[in-house]
Amino acid sequence: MIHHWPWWLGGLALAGVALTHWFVLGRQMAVSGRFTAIVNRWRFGAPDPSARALQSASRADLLAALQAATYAEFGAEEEASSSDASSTEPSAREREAPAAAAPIESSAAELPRVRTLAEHAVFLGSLVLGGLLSALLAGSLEFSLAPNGEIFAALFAKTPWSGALVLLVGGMLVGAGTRMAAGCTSGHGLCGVSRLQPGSLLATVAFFGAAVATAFVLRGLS
Amino acid sequence: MLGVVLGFALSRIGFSSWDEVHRMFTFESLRMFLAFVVGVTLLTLAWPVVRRFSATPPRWSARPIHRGTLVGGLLFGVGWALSGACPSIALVQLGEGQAAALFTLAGIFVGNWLYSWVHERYFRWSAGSCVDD
Amino acid sequence: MRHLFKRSDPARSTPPDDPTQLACPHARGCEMFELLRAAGTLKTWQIRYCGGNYHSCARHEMSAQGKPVPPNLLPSGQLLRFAGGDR
Repeated sequence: MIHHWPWWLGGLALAGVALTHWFVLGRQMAVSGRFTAIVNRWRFGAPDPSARALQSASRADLLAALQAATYAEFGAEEEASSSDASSTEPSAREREAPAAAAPIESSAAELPRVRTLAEHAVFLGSLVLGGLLSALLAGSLEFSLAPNGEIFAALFAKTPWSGALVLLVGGMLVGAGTRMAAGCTSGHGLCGVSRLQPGSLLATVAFFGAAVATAFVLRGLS
Repeated sequence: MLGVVLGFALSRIGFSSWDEVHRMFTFESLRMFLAFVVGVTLLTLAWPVVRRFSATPPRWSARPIHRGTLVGGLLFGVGWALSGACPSIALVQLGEGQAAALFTLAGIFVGNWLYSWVHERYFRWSAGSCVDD
Repeated sequence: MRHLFKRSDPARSTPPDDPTQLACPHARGCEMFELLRAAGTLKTWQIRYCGGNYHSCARHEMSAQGKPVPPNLLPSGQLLRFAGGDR
């Protein structure tokens, strides 16, 4: 049997992991986004390799690329509209001068790294490992096909497959809901709320509220 | 690797047990809810300190209220109460040997996929930033 | 209540090209915005894509469709590549 941690230890652990995640990975901790990324890979295919190629670009290369892109987009029109008195776009001279004088600050701008499918898989896999380790150390590791929990069994395991169906439907709601709200308990709940982000506050209230209501309905049904 | 610690913690706190989660939502046991509140409180206090000691201002994407926030949150809540799992938990359950979590996981992927399809077809709103945080 | 709907992250110092003054709701978090600013060519792009007609920005449009936005996607819809061609 896993002896569950007291509330203060749980709280410490959650905050600690979230902070460590930020320090180590440089991103806010979020899990549903990983699922979204995997589904995106599936629906929209692998990302264009040009982003990956630019990752290792030198500052000078990046600057040149941006300059070239700007000229490609605006350069031709700049010639055409040079006689247009109301043109608000700076002249080519003005564009190039400040660019030459202001090299890219090292930390101010960089291309964010696109995480690979493998990275997502590793992270998700490590969550599985965490659960495995916990059960292993508690001596309660057992592979059972039956959904765990006595209350769950009493509520849903009327037929062999009814429990599975509830999990499937519940999972679908979780998958759709977290994508729609753009976050889950770790992303919105822990990181978003603690940063007082309005979207996270609303989402967290919404999902806790809905969960509580549903739980009471379920209890009423039993 | 960090996920191992998270998974371990979630398991030990009790989030991977359907019964425990149900008890939390019916207020029968406030332990896990308190753990969540403590976690959030600690982070609320910690982030400003982190910002202060960061060399450059951290680029944390904004999470504004958008059109999907409320309904998405509600759907997620119902799903969580039914399945007992949020996305991370389903994986932790799998690790603990709960093979039934495979159904939950399948559901999450299918639900995410379905929503992606629906949104692309019928909705036009952004979640606040064009880059994944 | 309206303040809840605006992005208000106090960590960001207000830069000269203040993105909070722009119509595009993504301006504060847009990596391409920062990249263009760092290269000194921001104004030209900003005028065309970050103001009232931000719906013409390819990045915003993709994001609104729920699709992943390539980090090197320019507002024009072109992908940023090495100046001398792909390597």
